[in-house]
Amino acid sequence: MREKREKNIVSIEDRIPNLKETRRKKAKRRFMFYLTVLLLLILIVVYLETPLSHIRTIQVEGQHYLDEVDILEVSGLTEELSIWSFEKAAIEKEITRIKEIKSVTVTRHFPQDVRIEITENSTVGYLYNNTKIIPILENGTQLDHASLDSYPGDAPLMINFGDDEYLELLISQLKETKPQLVDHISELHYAPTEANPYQIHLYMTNGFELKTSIRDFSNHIKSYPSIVSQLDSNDPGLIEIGAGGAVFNAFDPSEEVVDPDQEIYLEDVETEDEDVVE
Amino acid sequence: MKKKTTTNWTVTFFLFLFLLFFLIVSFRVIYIQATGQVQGFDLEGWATQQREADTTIHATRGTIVDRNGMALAQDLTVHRIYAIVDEDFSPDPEKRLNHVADIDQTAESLSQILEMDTVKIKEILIEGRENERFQVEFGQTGQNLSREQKLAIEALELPGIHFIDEAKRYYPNGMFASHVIGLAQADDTHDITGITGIEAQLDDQLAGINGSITYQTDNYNRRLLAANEVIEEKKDGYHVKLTIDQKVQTILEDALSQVEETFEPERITATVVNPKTGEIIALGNRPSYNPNDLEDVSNWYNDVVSTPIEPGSTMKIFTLAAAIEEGVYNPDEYYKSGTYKIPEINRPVPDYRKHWGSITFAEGFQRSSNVAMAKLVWEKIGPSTFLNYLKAFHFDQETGVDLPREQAGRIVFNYPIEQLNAAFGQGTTVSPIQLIQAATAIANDGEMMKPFVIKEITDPNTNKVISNTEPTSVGTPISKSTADQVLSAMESVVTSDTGTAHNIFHLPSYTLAGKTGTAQISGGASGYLSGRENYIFSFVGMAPSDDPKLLMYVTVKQPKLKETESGSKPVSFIFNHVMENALHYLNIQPDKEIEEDVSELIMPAVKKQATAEVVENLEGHGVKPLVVGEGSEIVGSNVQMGEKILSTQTIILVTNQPTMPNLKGESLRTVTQFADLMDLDLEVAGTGYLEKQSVAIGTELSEGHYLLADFTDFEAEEPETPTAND
Repeated sequence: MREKREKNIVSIEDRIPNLKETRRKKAKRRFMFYLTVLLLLILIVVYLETPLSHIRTIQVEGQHYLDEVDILEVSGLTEELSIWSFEKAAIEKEITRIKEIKSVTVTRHFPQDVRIEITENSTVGYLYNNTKIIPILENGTQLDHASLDSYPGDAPLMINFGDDEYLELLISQLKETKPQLVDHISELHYAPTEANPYQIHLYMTNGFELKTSIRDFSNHIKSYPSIVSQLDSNDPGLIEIGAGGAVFNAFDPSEEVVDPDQEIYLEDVETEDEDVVE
Repeated sequence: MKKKTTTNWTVTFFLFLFLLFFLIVSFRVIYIQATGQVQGFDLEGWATQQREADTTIHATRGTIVDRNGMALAQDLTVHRIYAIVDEDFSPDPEKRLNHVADIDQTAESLSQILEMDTVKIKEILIEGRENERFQVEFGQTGQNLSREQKLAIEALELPGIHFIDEAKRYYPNGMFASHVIGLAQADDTHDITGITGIEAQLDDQLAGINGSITYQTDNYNRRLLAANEVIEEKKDGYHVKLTIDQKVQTILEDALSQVEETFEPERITATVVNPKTGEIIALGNRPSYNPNDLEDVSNWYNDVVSTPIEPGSTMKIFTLAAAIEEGVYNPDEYYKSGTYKIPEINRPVPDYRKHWGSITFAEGFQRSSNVAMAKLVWEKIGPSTFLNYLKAFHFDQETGVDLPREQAGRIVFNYPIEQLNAAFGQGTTVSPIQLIQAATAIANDGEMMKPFVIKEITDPNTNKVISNTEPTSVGTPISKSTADQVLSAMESVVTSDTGTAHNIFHLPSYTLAGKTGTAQISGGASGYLSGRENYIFSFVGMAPSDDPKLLMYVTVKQPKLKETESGSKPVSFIFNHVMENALHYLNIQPDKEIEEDVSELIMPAVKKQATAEVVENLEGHGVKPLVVGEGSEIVGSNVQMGEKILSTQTIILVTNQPTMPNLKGESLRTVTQFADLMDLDLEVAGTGYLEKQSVAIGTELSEGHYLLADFTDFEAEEPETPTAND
């Protein structure tokens, strides 16, 4: 067919050379386009299939009690993995399961870096169990594995507590307490009495001692700064805050043992010129 | 003829004799007819009784309510059980039993519900049957049964067991203003009569009038057809509304009970009044009793009105008021404290155990100086004028408060020593209610208000108000400006460092004016009792101090104190607790702002700032920073910039030339933070507050310097601590 046509019919390309030229160009362009696409695909495959797409560095930030390695292990991220092979949300969810962790964000940093930013649960106190000092986090977790030899001073020290409901309640109360208020507390001693198994004895940083109840602790402690600001810090004492109000007693009893206004008669008490009334 | 005459005379004699007897008998008959009495016995009544049946309808005793209508004393229906033991009462035992036939089973069943032995119940039933009684009762145990108990027994369907409904006086709050409300109990006729307090005072009005139904009966006590029935309607007793507030009283009772338990004082009185009206908002005494469950009542007296005491220093407010009113008081004038001697007295008037040298009268009042008061009376006011003031404050008469058995105190003012003693509340006695009435003048712009407790009496039958107490002014012993000055002097007793109430009496949210008192107790002829606990400790306080809404007076007699405790402790416990809560409860706007004293601020930038500037800035906000060293520039702090802090927090500032500060008394946390900031090699012993530091004050500090911080004090019970270092 083709031969026949060539013989009999003069090709239109021959007759209009410009048109032919145009068509060739068009074809070439199309070819180039396909070629580019193909090359790109090849490049992508090469990128994804070679270590070029693998994670080069994983940065973990914000850990205090946790080990970077532990977080990495939980996240499942390794340097053999492609940077595109994981889902951020899934990894975040996985990491949040660690009880020390409060929140986490995972971000990709092109070309080959991943950053894991974590916020740990803050330390509400340190539990002293006669041998070790165990950090306690705001969600109640006791970090036995991270126990310390010395008290770091960035949260109150809790003494005499057993591992029980009272400690649990106190932690939940501390969590509700403003950090500025918790910063006033040096030591928290569990000091139950028969009448009040919830009683605690606090040593405050400004020299006052405070006796109050774990129940409603976060409310009781609210009034502490205003009470203390009205007292003389050079003459500290024991403040008792309860449901009904606060009572203050100075430590130094030398003058307070006897009331300052006792009208006692110095030498003698018998009264000869006085009409004694019963 | 002669014989006839004799006969006639004899006949006439007998005739007259007969006539005499007839007349005597006739007169007797007429007399009985007219008076209806034979030797004092009411025949008419007896006759009526013979042919009429009479049923009493008990009137309900009036309810006593608090100012908001909460019931404080009310009638409650209780049930009394009885058992019919007469066999004749069951004419046809086969068909229907009307008496207790099966004693064993009845006793067994009853004992489960009544708190009584089966054996005891059996005894009672058998005894009743043997003595041919118609019915028997079960003593105390069988009375005052609740509705639940009654229903439970009825459910057993025991033959011959029945109930009588009775009224019982019930006090819903138990031990609660018991000496005010008083006590009413049922007597033998099951009528309730008031015995003490308001119950006795207003018994006539509370009791009401019993009604009755009367109708005529035949010889068998059956109602006649034309029974001539008379119904006399009962009239229920009047309701009494008190000025007492149930909530405030409850707060007071709780505080009193706690103090009674902890300090076991001989007596406590506490009274809260509204000084503007004289209304008694709460009044409590200890020992007290629970009117629902009387056990051993050791104190029937309402000491607030019935027991005058030597008030002690609280009287000084009236001495001061008199001096100010007379225009002879100069608060800035100096006098020599210690003792005061005039020729007219043998022994000088002393200040308690110490003297403060030459001080102003203002300070003398704050320190509760007896000398200041004695001097004011003797040299400035003059004893006779002072006596007029004591009378103007009604210390010479009863207040007329509407509570029974009021007993006024006695002004003892004959000799110079007595006149001086009266200036500071010894010798002269006053009852707490007298002192409260006098103090209303100071809290109420000079106008003295008569205290009262009965607010309103209403008739529940007609809903009419029978009487309504209006506040009564009983005099104006001082002017408004004097009252204001006394109030501010009393405020300084609480606020000033030298004040006797300073740091002891304190309300977190309200300003307070008050005066402490510690009065000796007279031991009769042998003079005053000695010993640390043998005093009446008291406090009179008013808050808020610029315009007092409440006035409270507390006395605690002979509390048991620990070595370290002062006698004002039980008093302040009651006062602080009740006053603060009562004011809050009454919705009085707190006039003391918490923010006023404590400021919250954002930690400013301190690093590389000039020490002086930073310290000045922080101190301007009320922060008292712990500055380490004398360097001109700050290099570190335990608080980060931008953190929220409170002015009461401990802020450590480290300068560029750090030296060892005095850490004695600092807390474990502060010391640790300090060591951490300075990178010291810290070793800790004990807990609590620092006792000893191994590095001398002023030593230059460098990184890794060893510091042994010893927190151990004599309290051995403290646990061993974190001995360690970093």
